[in-house]
Amino acid sequence: MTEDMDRYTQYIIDPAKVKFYRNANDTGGLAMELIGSDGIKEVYPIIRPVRVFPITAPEEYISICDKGNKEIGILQKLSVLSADQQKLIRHELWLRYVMPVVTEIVDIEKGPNAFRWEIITNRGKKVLYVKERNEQLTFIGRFRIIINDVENCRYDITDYRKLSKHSLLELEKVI
Amino acid sequence: MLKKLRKNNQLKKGQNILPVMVSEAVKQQFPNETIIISALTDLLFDATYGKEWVVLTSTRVLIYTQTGDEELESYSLRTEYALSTLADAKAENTVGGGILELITPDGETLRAALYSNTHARRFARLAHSIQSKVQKKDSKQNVVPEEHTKYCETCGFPIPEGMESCPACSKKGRTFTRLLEFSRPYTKSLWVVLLVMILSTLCGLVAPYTSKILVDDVLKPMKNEWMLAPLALALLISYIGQNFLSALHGQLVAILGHKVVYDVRTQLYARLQELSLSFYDKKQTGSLMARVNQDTNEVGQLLVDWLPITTESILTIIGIGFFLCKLSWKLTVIIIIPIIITIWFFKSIWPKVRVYFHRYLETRAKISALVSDTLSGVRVVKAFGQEKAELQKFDEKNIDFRDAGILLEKKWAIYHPISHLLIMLGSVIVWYVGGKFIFAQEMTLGDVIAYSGYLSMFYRPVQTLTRMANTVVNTLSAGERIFDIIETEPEIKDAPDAVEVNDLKGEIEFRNVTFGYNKFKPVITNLSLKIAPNEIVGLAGHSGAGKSTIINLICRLYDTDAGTIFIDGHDVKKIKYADFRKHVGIVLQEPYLFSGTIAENILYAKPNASRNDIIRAAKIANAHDFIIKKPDGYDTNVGERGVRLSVGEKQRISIARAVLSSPRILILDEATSSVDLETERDIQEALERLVTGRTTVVIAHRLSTLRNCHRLLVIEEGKNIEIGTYQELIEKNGAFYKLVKLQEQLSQIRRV
Repeated sequence: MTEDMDRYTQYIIDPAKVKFYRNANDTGGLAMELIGSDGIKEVYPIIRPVRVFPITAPEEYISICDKGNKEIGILQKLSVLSADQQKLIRHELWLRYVMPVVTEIVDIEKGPNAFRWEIITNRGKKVLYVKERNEQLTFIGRFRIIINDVENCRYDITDYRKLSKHSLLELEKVI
Repeated sequence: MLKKLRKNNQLKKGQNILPVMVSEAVKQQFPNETIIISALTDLLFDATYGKEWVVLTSTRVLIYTQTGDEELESYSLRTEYALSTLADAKAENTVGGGILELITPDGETLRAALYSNTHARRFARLAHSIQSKVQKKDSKQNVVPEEHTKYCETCGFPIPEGMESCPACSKKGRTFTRLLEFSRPYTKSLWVVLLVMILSTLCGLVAPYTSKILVDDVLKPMKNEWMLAPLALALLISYIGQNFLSALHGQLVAILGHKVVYDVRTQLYARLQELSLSFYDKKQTGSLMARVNQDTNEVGQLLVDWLPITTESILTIIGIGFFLCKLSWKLTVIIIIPIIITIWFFKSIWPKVRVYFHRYLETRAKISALVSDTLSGVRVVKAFGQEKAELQKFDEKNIDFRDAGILLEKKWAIYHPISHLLIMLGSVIVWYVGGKFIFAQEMTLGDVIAYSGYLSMFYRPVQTLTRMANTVVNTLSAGERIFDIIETEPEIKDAPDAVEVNDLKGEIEFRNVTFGYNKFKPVITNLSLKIAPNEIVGLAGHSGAGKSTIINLICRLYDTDAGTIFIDGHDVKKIKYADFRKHVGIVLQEPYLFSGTIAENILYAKPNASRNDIIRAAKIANAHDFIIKKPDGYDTNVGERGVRLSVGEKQRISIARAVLSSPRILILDEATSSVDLETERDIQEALERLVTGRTTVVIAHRLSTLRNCHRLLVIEEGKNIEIGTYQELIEKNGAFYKLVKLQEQLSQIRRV
């Protein structure tokens, strides 16, 4: 690889050189101050964090994009930031990535065209309808299941082994 | 009459040897000549069927044609050519056959002989030999290997391609033994299964005998009332025993069968992965998929369902036969005749009914194929407004299906009552003759009752056996197809002296390479070229000129027919295959993405790379930006069951894949499909970054690529006709110039 190419690969944001804060209007957006390679501090009034590997590495490789969705840089690991910085980013990601984690499956009922699921998630209770028995259930690895409902919303069973007995009984109806 | 025809169709072993008559004639007419090679053709010079022999001697080409009756095998000289008057020879392919052409030094073409496709390979060889002789070349070098359709010696039918022996005549026992070999690790379980089966059968045979004892020793003489209870108990136990043991047997067999099939399936799949591309060229993907999926399932069913049922039936029949004879051998002798008639009936009618069954299955398959075809092409149907025509097509097939079903039911409806009747006939005979025997004091009532009971148990296994016989044979064919693949040796495999090459510089050399996908139709002839390490070489030429073939050879997806390819000075055949593939990267015209996430696809060549490496490769390929725009980012599912990517996106992902694997030799088959300007620019940039610092061979379609190449090779009809830089070739005003001009014109039209 030539030096020229390395230019394209200087995208890791140095956690020491960056600071996130709520922007002035506090419309809920995040702003960022970044000290660039030239030593000059740049202010980005609106940035959006984007998960590069949303499913397999949700806490790593967070791409920071500007207002026009152009990438400014990538944060390699959230954990290297300070606690309140992490909180800010995590909150923003929590708002942007809505894939509730299923904590309990209360009931699964078969209907004429779909299955009615009643679940409890880390974002609250939810009733959803899922087409087909398990066509809309994607297995990631052997123990993680992502459910896709008729409204195209997704729900995450991170490890079905960790569910309660009752949840497992219900789940066995469809897998 | 039939026998005679068959014999003649057989390509007997000796048929390819020059008949004595001809060789004698040659010796007589041309006493100083030695015969070098000869070929038999099946077409006369007027293209009708007949035999001719073309003989190449040291100074002549002689053609003997058949005279008189086919049986007599007499020949006379039709024409001769002196080699001194010839400059070249060619086996020209026509549709369904070919012409042997001899070319004079003036360029005149003489037609020497005609042949059908059966002899195409032989004539290619002959033409080559003539050519070598005339041009005084070393004929040993470019030998076209002898391959012809093999015919089975037993039945005269051709052996399917890729198979070594005739599947119909092969010993079915052999496949069976091979299947059993697979179950060798489970021998202990097999013995248990057998034991359970014998016990179960024995339990089943107890019942009628118990009724004999009941009638003879207890009920009729009205004595021994104490025996009632133990007899009833014995009966109960035997029934329970039989049911239980039967269920146990079923379970054990199922477990065993599934385990064995698992082993077969694993071996089959492993072998399929090993086999080279030429194997896949010859077979259709569909039939291969059928082998892995359907055939393994069929073999599984054979082991799990049919075999146990068959063995159980055989045991039962033997057991019953024993008891029948024990009770009254005289009655058994009498009853044999109706039994034989019944068996004959089962055996002969069943194949006939089967024909209707097959027709039913076939019409059903045709209808589903039609539906699948039409519905997947619904866009085209609607665009051309052909709904009515499609409906009519469907209706025809639907009618066939309906009729096949009705006919099947009708035939089946006849079969059943008749078979029942025959069975009942047996029963009637037992009572009549048995009755007579009772009066003659040769049998007791209990004997007859037991006999009747055994007889009624007899027919079911017989019926099962007749039906199973054919099914088992057919399923064994499935097994054969599987073993056929497992036993195929991959064409491209490591030579015993293959070496590992660790530090590849990336120098490629072709030395007098000749190759064709069909052995007698070379796509590349005598090609020689040399590519230096880190050189970017472009291949240009019309479609079909041989560019993709050159690339396939560099990747060693095929081996050359003649000549050698050297990588860093090593004969590519002497480099360890797995090692070699690590150093070669390829970006195809049609980027194929497997079912999986984008990250998995990029990682394909280097599964252990880190996430950082993936992002880096994607950034270099200008793919990162569009990937993170997708909601699942790099974890987006693509391929069969995932999101559809646009052509430009697929291209860039496949470039990222190549970047990650960072090969020393990069093969690039540029896509010709058009994308929007911005994407085009992104792709171009990505490609430029990709080819830096490695030996690249690119089939170029873009002007910019052509300009960036260090050298360009212009290929036409498998030969390298121009070499030079872009500038040099344009100035030459030759074939390359014409190509570029044509492309410019086309792009102008596109712009308009």
